[in-house]
Amino acid sequence: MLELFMQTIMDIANASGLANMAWQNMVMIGISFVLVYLAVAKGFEPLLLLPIAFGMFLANLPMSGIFAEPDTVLRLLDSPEALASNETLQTVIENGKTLFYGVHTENGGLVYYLYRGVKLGIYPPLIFMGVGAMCDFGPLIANPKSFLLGAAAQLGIFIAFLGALALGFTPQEAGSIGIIGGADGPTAIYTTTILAPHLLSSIAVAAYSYMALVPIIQPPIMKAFTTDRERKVVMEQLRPVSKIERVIFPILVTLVVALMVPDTIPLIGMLMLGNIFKESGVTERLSKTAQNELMNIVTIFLALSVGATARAETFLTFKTLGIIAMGLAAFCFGTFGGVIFGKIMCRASGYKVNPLIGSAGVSAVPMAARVSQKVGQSYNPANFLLMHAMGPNVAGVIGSAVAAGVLISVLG
Amino acid sequence: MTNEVAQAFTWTEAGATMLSGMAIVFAALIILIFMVWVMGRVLGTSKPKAPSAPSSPPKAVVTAPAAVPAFPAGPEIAVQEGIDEETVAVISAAVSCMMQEIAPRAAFAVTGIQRSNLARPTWRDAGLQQNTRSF
Repeated sequence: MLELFMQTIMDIANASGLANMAWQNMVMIGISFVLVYLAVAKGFEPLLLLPIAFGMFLANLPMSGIFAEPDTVLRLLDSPEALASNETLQTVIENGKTLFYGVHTENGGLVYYLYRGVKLGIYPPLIFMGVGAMCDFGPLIANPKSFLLGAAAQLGIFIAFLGALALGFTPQEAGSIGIIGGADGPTAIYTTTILAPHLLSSIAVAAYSYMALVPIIQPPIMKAFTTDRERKVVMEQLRPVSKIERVIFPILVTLVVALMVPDTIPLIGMLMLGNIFKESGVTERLSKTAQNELMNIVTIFLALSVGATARAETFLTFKTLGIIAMGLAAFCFGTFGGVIFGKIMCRASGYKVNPLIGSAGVSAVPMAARVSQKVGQSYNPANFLLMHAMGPNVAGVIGSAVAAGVLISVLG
Repeated sequence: MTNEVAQAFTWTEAGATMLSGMAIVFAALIILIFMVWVMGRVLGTSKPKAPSAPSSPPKAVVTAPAAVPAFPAGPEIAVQEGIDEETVAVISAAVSCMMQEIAPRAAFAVTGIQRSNLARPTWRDAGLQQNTRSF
């Protein structure tokens, strides 16, 4: 009896998670704890990083099965009467002989089903709808030249694309890595899902981490490439924008961008749908839902399932290091592109444009615009660049979606 | 295809992707600049005008300050116990806004603020109406 008892204990111990814990699991769990710390203690994009980190934690627990695929088991039956209650009968005629099979389907893990929304490209456009409902395109409408800064800041995407190719990534992987420079989580996830789904977790973690680090990454570049005089430029007050312009704008942008780059329709279309909900003034409930409840629910599903894709075999590779390096390069070159173009506009306009607003063209709404404001104000306390920087900032969202569409159409 | 050729082909393609990508991004956004500019011209509000520069040097104009009419002290507001000063200020401001819209010239005074004893408060009623209104 003692022997049986010991055997039972041994069987349970061998089947436990502890006995099946590999060192890779431990490393991944450790990384997830670091991300939890960064999200909670340091406030690094906590709304996304926390569920991503927890998804990573859950997926790397041994035998968690949270990402298990559904499994279909076929059992050959002697007769149809032998069918078990959880099976369905399947009859196959083989060489004139009738065979009976009991078919039993094991359900997949929770995250396997939640991940369908990522894999089928549903969540990122829905999040974009919420972003659109929160975005104020007024500064961009008032000063459409800001679009140029939003375009220039996409330079980082293409430089990182080349850099990733040089590091040995495939063109599809390089395109997904480059899009980190768009500083736009949903766009990065959407593009990666199509081009290189196996890199999804590394790219999502890198994108959101760097977005949180915008206030640290951008200021040195902004200061290095501008002069004291340029940083102190006070910009003219923006004109007020009429309601009809605000309502027509999302339709106009969708029309132009969708006709030029049809692959961006899911992203730009949903972004502008959210925006027209807000600006029309007649769908307040839909606008509120898009920017609050729906956005929050989809964010949880997206972040949790993206985090759960971070498993040792895909995450603990040299590729992840390459992604982290190229992601940083993408952000730096994006900021550089925006600032340099801002500088050109500054000189061309006779010092009427402050080049610091160029860095906001990398998207990362509204943090990049806040960085422009903060740096500008540190040189001229009476200077308020925030609204001027919001123009390139939201133009960057449109620009990165267009760049994503180009990469998808060329590499997809 | 040798590795060298494959590599050259990849780099050519990569360069073309980069250039065409940036060109398309710029082209799309430049078209948008033009269209938004046209839209602004047709439908937009005018630019906020900076104060025009005086044609002659400003003269010191000394005018006697207009007598500011003393604001008549209104009656004391009878406030029900338990309603704090901030709520009184907010309600008074809301009443003022409302009165300016519906009767801009009418003289009015808030004489008292008390809790309503409705079975279903108006705010709850408004919320209920909003949530049950059909699509």
